[in-house]
Formats: sequence, C-alpha cells, structure tokens
Amino acid sequence: MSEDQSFDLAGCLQRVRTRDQIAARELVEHLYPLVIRIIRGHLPRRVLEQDIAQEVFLKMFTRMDQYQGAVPFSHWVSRIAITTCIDHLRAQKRRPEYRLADLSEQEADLLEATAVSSNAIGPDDALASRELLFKLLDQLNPDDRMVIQLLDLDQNSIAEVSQLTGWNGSLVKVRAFRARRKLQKLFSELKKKEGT
Amino acid sequence: MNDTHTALNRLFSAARAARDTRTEAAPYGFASRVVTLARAVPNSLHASYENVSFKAMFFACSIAAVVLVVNTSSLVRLVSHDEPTTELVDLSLD
Repeated sequence: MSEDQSFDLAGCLQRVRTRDQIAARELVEHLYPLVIRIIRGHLPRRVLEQDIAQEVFLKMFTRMDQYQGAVPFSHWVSRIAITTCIDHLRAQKRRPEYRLADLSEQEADLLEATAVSSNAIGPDDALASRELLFKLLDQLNPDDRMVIQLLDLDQNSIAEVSQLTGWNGSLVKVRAFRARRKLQKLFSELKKKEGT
Repeated sequence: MNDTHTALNRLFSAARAARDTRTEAAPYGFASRVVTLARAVPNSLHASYENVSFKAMFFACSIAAVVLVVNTSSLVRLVSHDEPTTELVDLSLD
C-alpha cells in the first residue's frame, strides 16, 4: 500500500460515506498504488491498466455500504482488485501455446540456464525471467494462474490467498497442486521443444 | 519431473527479483474522473429502471391493442345495433 502512514483512513472513509467528494478523491489517490501493483502483477502488460483500476474503484464506491470493517479496508479493496483481474483473465478467451520460436533470445537462454543452476541466471535476467514466467502462466486457466502467482510468485500464505480470493483453504491447496502440475508439464514441454 | 520442479523454482526466484520501475502514483485527473463516474452510478441505475418501465408500458399497450383488434367485430356489432342492450324496467309504484 501507499507509504503515507499519516493518512487518516478511518476519518476519510467516514467523510466518503457522507458523500464528501474531496475525501473520495483522497481515498482513490491513497489506494491507487496498491491497486495498480495488483493489476500490473496479475495482468499482461498489453491491458489498459488505468481502465481496470477505474473499474476497481467504481466497484469500491458502489459496494462501500457492504464494507463492515471485519478486515482492513486495504484488504477489502485488494480482494476487489484480485477478483476484477480474474474476471479480465477469464474474458481473454485465447490461451496461446508458446513455442520456442515465440521466445526472445534472452528468454530462450534463460530457459536453458534454469536447467544448470541458480548462478546461471544473472541479476540482469530478472525482467526476462518474469516475462518468460508470464508466458507460461498465460497458458493456464485464470484461477490456476492466480493461485500460482499469489502463492509462488508473490509468496503469500494459504490464509492470505484465501482472504484475497474468497476461496477456502482446501480449495486453494487443491487448486495450487493441480496448477503446479500443469505448469511443470508446460515447462517441460517447452524445454523438450528447445531440445529438438 | 524433479529437475523440472527445480528449474521452475529457479525461474520463480529470478522473476521475483524483477523490479517494476513504473510510477505508482495516480495520474493527474484520475481520482476526479473516478469520483465523478461513481457519483453518476445511481443515475445510471435510475436510467435503467426508467428504461425497464418504458418497456413494460410498451408491452402493456401492445397487449391492449391486440385485445382491441381481436374484439373489434363484437364492438362494431354492439355499436351498429340500435336495440338497447338492457331492458328498461319501470320501477315506479303506480
């Protein structure tokens, strides 16, 4: 979330409920970094992130009456952002199957380097690694992709993923198990193609 | 499969190190736009309710028109006959 610790969130929410426009603008500006990080982390770069952010904030305002304060407000907004991302991933019907030819030279080198050792992947390869990983994740269904990203990439706990997605703990575990298996299969297939 | 698992873990570790350098601050005018749109949402609900009401009214009028057309012959017959439809009864005591 925003580093602005001095922000009076409770007071701001109270003013928003009385239809104070200035407070509503302050709330959006305060939460924007949190929302945009979630969107950037879970959707491909080609999507219009501002449009998705706008959708998240509109949902936040229209559902404001439903917020009971059981969880911190930022968690509640994160959940709206996550579910909005899942909806957008579901809307993208095409799940491309990548071939080695679709990978950049750096990504193809990385694929080779992962088989050798961690040291073979340099610090400069971080962005390319992320791109390569996202290409693999693109081939999973939205729920599988989300669970893998939240658990293995963002390193959230099962309880945190459960809170963010609204899925119960057992469902998160089962989904993660199946998604990891699928991802491993996709990864080994890509590597096999590289070997041929 | 174990090798794949290890290789995939290496890829995850490397990907985690990636830093997004794009700015995270809300673009100028974004908050105002969102707040204006959010305030317009009840109006749009109102508009959709209005829309549904008009459709219902149109549907009701159509049914009334069909009923009128179907019963035209009976109505015409009723109007064209000069005979009174009800008999007048003299209720006077004389």
